[in-house]
Amino acid sequence: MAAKPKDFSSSVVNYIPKIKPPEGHSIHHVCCPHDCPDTCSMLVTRNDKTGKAVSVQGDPSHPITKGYLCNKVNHYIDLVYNENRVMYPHKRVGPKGPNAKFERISWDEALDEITQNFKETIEKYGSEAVQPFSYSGTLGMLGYWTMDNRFWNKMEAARLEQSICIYAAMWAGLYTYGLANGPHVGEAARDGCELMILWGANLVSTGVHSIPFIREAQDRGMKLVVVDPRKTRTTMMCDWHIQPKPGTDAFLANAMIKVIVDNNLHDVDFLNEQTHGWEEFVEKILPKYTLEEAEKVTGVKASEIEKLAVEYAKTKKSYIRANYGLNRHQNSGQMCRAVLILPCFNGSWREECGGAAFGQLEEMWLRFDLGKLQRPDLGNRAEKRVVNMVQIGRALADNIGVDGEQLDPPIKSLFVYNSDIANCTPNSGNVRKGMSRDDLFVAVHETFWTDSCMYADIVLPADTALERMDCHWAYGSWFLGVAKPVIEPLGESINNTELFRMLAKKMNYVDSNDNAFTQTDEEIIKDILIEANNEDGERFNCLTEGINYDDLVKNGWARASTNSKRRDFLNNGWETPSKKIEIKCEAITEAYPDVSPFPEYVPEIHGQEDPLRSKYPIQVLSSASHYFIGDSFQSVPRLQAMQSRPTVELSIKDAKQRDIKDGDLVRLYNDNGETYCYAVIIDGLLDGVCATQKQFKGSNTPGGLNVNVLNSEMLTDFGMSPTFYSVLVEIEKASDEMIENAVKQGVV
Amino acid sequence: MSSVSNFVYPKNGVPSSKSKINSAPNPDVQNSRVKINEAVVKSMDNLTSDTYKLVIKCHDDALPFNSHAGQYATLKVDGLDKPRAYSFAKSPKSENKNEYTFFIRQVPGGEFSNWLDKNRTGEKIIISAPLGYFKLDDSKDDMVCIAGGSGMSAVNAIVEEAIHQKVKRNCYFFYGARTQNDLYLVDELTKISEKWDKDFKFEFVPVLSEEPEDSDWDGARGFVTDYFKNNYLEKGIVSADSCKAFFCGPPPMIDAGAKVLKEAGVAESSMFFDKFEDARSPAPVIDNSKCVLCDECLLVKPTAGCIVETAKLGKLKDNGKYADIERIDPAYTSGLYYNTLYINEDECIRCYACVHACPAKAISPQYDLEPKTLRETVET
Repeated sequence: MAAKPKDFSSSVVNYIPKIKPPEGHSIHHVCCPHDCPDTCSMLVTRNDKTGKAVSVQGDPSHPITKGYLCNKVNHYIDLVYNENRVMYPHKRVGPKGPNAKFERISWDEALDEITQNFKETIEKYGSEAVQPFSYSGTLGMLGYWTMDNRFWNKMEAARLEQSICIYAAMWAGLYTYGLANGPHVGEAARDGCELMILWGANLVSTGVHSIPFIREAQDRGMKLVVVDPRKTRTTMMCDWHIQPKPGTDAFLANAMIKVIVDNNLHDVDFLNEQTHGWEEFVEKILPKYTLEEAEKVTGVKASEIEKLAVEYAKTKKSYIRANYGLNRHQNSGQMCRAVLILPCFNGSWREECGGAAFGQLEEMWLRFDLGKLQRPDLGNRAEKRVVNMVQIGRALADNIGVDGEQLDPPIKSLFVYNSDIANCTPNSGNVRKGMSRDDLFVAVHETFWTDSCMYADIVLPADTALERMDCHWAYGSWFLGVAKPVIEPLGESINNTELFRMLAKKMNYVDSNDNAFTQTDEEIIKDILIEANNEDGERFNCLTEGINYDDLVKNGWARASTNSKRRDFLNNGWETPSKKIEIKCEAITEAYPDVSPFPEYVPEIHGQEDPLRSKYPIQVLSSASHYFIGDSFQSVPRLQAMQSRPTVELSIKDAKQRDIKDGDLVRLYNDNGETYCYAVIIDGLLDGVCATQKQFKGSNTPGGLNVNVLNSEMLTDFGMSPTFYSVLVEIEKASDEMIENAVKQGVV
Repeated sequence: MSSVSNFVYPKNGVPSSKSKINSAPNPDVQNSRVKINEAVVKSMDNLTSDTYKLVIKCHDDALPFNSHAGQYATLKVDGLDKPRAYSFAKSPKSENKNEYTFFIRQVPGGEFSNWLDKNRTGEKIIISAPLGYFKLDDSKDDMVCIAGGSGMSAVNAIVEEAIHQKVKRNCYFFYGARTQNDLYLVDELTKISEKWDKDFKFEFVPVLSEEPEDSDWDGARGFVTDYFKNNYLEKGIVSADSCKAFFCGPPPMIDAGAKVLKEAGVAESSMFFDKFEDARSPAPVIDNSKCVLCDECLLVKPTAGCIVETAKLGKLKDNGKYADIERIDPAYTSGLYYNTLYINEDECIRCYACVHACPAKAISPQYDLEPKTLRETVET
């Protein structure tokens, strides 16, 4: 696959936007910073007289963006100029919680309050009592993980395991293939794919720019299979919809492999040459994955599984695009591995359009010299003191760390940025309880007045993509982009890098002999790219070969050099201990003694086979909405209108049993808590499964808390990921009394 | 619902005020790429007995339409059901700031035409633009411009643009009309040859189809495309493999012209045209099973009502139209499930901008007329 990918063009083309601005206006490249695989290149038109951005559109020159944007970013102007933006630093007056009140203060006052707290906390409890909390509010290299990390490294603050989204899938990929990703889904479709499987991927809503590629391929005869327990916009365009019960995909994949091997359709040459442990897997593990048993566990008819397996085995030009829903189950590490090894058995990795991938995250993000970006050498930050963001609830509320031990010192100061911690975390009721602690100082750097701000002592105004410089590396394609600010920051908002430069100054961290806190954004981006010219460097990032800063800025985007000889895995070997694709992976068992070295199916805790289902019979899938990503787009009027209330999809049978009608307000509850949604009855949804939106704004949800109140803080089998989909509930029609009670009780 | 009043949605930076979210925002997209501006009629002059030159002026602070020569706008005036499409008659570079010129021909019985009966200077007019893809190409090939009726406007704009760009290419401009009385701008167009690059030719050739035999007209006669074929193509003045054709006018003229040129060996990729489609052409239809809900089509809507988000389509009437369309009430939608897009053919002006804008190829005039809705409410 990686040997000689067909390039779109040279990695950088000399492109001058063909779209001419109206008189008095200019057009600028901006890269979409939001948590989405597409990482679009946008063209922003600015009125040069008023300095205001007036419109956005997709960059027609960008090979993935292709001149159009998604329904969210098409309304970006309304996000930037939004009445719900935090414009100035604020200090809370009165109690923490949903109705907290704030008054405006100056930046200087705000920074003094924060750094004073840092200093006192460090003196009294040690620097590990300061806990940073951040995630994917922006996915820019600078805003996500550069200057902030330098600051925390210098402070020697507590570490944060940023595992809330993709870790199980990422580790499944790293354990199995090393640092290696397959082709982009759109490129695979374009380059001759004949059978494509979108596995748990609703790309219409979560990566729409791949859809035209897929459509075109379908028009020339590519067969599209979608594996998803739900009915989505994506399942509606497929040729074949397979609906396994949630959390059983490993059984489905292994049963497919058994069919392939039993029919002698497996690519023995590929398996021998490129993989490790396949024969043992076939002999010891596969026998129990019979079609009969597979039908029982997955709910998919044996004949359907057999047909899919045989078609897949016979179609070398086949590609699997899995998505991160798969990695939100308790048993998801192994589930992701089982899906990822399928192309080893039909040998599709040898095809330009072949293989399997969740995206391009591992290579695009982990080939960087993080030491250079984040400067761990600035301090001696303890490895041991780490909080998993999935378990921030128990860390804040119950003072418990990842190993189950008491946190010593406890978290005394919490600094939140790039994240709506009050809504995005599992067991969010517990998180809010912890944030409400009187002895906890909380600072929040935010673009919008999120629910998290309501628990802050100090709220700092953050900017948007139009107001800052950053460099973006897509996690779902091979493209990177760079953007310079188009407009002045609104109000007194400040970008992430500048914020941490300011904090560093106040903390006296700036050393005149070290540029850690004085490097400009431009210098840092150049540093990232200069790696390419330093072939002797230890961490030379092969993906930056041939990309230079000036061209990148001029064009707005470039293609990573995937045709580098350094990533010819089929010929050079894979970046794993065995130098092969590890169907058997001893490293997993070393790290997690209870986990098999083979991708086996283990029934999901709080899943379809859990005895708890007798009490809570419905499994909740809280997947990405079409209308927002995290909190930010929920303040855009158009998008708020289109998803004005949280909904829950129910099967006809489950609804009937509970006397629930379409549009009814219903209560979802389990031992962790309760939330409310409006019922949408879906003909064809599996019984025993319901689906709702992830991260709906709690304060716009009846009762005040979104679906995350129902989650435990349980981790996945490996990868330390959250188990957002391992949630069992009962559902009932809500009475008015119930809603009033929930409201009276407040949030916690 | 009693709990709604408790939802806090902070406003104006300080999250102290409580506001409800149950008021329904306008479902129509605000960030449209096709701007809908308010303007006034600045002047209205006769070009011929039935053709007017209309100049309208937008407010000073209106965002300028980012249009190029060859594009068109829709105009709507009070008392008219539907906006009408008219090409900009000048290159944007030739216009005064915020002003837009149109050549409008009165058609007997036409709604807009009746409006032209009176002098409308100073009256309000709604303009939405830019629309269309007709434009001057970048080649050095001979330009063959063929216009009929009020198709003069777009081609005039293209020729003006060519002058602004100081192109180095020959240009043959054939204008088809019925009689001498239908001709306008003849002097101006004839004089263009003085501004044209000296090493290249500019010819303006009016061709009359119904001029009485005994009149004093000593110019070209017949149908404009036949005239071009017989006197230019066949005589080798223009060569089929090194010309670009620009057509603007009534669809039959364009169809005939395109056929002639195609037979003479002009590649389809060398022919550019903007047909004035009307309600006789099929309105595009959205296949919601292909739609990815990206809002791109909503951003190029020329009128508020042409593409609507429906909760429900009423029963089909005998004439193939829907008895009623229930629009989404955004405050109470369930988002994705009800968001079915529907093109109301009574409101559609046949600009096909949505067809071009759709990245998923979900909009086409060719689909089965019955739109597919994704989900009906399931009664339990």
